[in-house]
Amino acid sequence: MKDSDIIQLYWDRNDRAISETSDKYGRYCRSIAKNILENEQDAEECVNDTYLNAWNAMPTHWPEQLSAFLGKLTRNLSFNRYKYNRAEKRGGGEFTLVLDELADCVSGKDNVEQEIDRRELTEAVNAFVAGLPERKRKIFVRRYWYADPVSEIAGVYGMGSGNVSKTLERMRKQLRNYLTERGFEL
Amino acid sequence: MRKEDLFEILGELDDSIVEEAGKPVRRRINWKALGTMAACLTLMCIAFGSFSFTDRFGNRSEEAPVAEAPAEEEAPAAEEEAPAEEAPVQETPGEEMSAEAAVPGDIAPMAYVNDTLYIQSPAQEGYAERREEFSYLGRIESAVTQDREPDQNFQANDPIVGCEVYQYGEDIVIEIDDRYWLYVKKDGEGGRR
Repeated sequence: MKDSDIIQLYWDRNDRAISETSDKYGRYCRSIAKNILENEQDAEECVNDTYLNAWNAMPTHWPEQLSAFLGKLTRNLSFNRYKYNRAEKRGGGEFTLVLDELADCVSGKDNVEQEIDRRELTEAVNAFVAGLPERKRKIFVRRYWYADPVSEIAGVYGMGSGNVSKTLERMRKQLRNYLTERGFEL
Repeated sequence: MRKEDLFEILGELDDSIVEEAGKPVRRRINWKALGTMAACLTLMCIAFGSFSFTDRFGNRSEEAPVAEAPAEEEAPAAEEEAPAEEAPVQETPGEEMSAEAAVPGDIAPMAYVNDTLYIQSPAQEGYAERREEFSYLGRIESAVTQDREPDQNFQANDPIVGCEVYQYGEDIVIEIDDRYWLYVKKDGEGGRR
């Protein structure tokens, strides 16, 4: 079924919207949730919550790209669950490595005094990622958006894992420099 | 700022960027590596010819003139094209990660779906008009290297993660780059493990 037909089902408040979404994007959402949570049950609950959030958002929202819309919902829900699990001293694994890598780009301190304009920072990060060469951009997004394991990225792009890690490291440094040059004290 | 905050900000990347990275990538042929392989093959043939020459005449000298002359001509060409240590391009910490090599040992494109191993059929037809007969199964979720058989559900040995998979009779069809590719069960026993 086409994305637009699925969205229309949501707008029509037709229950089939959920099953059609699950059929077409269930695995996609589940893979994102699993990358972050590494726990089948938590991942499944986040995917179900994704459908519920999609149901609540449509209408009035009409996503331009349904996969990215659902993926973002899953990512946010899964990350919230991850933070909850961390507080409960659960979780860890590959996704913790993703976060630890991102620590290269930030100070790790709470910037209570200096309130960073989140919207401006988001735009700057978007501009940085958009400006990367296509292949590097995809590798960056697969790692830091989809939280894909390095080994999987290496498999997809036919690279060695070490090469992927070095490429990511270079891009993290570039991101930090890019943001610092633009006045963002991270 | 904490790393968790940055992860959340990255979550707000443009949909188009997210979508693009989620799309499958097609492995490009590395002609440089292929050229190196061809040069190596040529050298092996020449070496084999040299061995035959020696054997045939009972002369164990390494100075077999007929065989060695072309070898000297080939060697510099091979070095110029690509040094031997650079042949596995994916391991070279090159800036642009130029492309993936069609390495020796690659096997036919396969996909493992619903506990069944499928192999890309050599006989491909136009399947777009038969779209109504397809039944959506899911997307390829992971990939292994091209020298391995996939063994996890919705796994391929081609970089086609994200591609949609459909049931088509007893076979499957995978949509890659807006084109449908037929995969048939790998062996007569249904490919099931």
